Amino acid sequence: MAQLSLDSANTLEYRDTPWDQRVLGFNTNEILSINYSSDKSLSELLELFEKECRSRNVLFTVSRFDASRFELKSMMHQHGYYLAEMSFQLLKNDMQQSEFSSEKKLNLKLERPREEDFGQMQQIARDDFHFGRILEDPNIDRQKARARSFHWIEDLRRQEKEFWVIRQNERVIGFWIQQVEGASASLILAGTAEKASMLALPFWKLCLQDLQLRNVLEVRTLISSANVRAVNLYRHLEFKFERALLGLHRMRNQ
Amino acid sequence: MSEDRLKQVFADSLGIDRTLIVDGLEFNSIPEWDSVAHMTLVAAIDRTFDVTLETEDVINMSSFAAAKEILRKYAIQF
Repeated sequence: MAQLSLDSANTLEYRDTPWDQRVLGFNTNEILSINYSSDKSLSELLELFEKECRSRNVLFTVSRFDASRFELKSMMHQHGYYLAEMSFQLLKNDMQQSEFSSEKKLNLKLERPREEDFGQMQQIARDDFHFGRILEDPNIDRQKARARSFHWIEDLRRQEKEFWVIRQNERVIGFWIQQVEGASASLILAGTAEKASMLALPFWKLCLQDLQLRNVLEVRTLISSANVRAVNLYRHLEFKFERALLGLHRMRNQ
Repeated sequence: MSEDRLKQVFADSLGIDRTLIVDGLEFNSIPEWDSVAHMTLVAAIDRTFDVTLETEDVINMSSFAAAKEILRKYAIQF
């Protein structure tokens, strides 16, 4: 992570994004935060960032900001950023009071993945996931965006995140990747194979019930607002919508 | 008779008009038939026809036509 600043009140933090660079074939980065005291200083910060990007030949930048930061949104548009996607940050903080049993009992079992499961998870991520900050960016080639999803599974494995899978006829049909720290869980990436998407609700309930039994009090996750099926799933599971985030991207000419 | 009953189950579970329930009606083809509604539908089918659909059936029940095909396995005639 790196920081640009005009002074202590006007700062911009950013980081390189090798996971994007890998599939796009050019330098990429992400703005992590912007703090500013005036429109003038915000504009100066963005110009400073632009200089930095050009000096390092960074052609693509992503960022995510609270949708209620109207001035920031306006200024970033003026500086060449476009709205690529919108996400919702979700929170369920009544885990111990919730009921996750289902009227219909299915023969689903949560398991840790075997070595051969990772390839299947990668295929599901590549072929059956249609929403995400890069998948939804109209300026990114769809195949490259899919490749990014494919590689993300291996990245999360190397980061030693917690993986769970469900199977049908020995094939992985769903996976759930999370990080649990004490009483808080962060759901990083989860989904089912397209052909098994009708099992989403019982699968999600199974995973949440497991967290409940581990005395987790709250679960957070991020979903695309365009993924209406996911929105309705989380609404049904009584997750709160904490924040709406705008994904503002910039593509630069070579 | 069974087809009528099944149509009613679909209509009640998905909250849609019976006229929309044709063989070609598919899971995720209308907003009302999503993964949440699917489990309501499956439980209602179990109750109405006194069967216990297996996980494989739940996955394969991707259309109204498929639902009839699956119930035929349980000796429900259409």
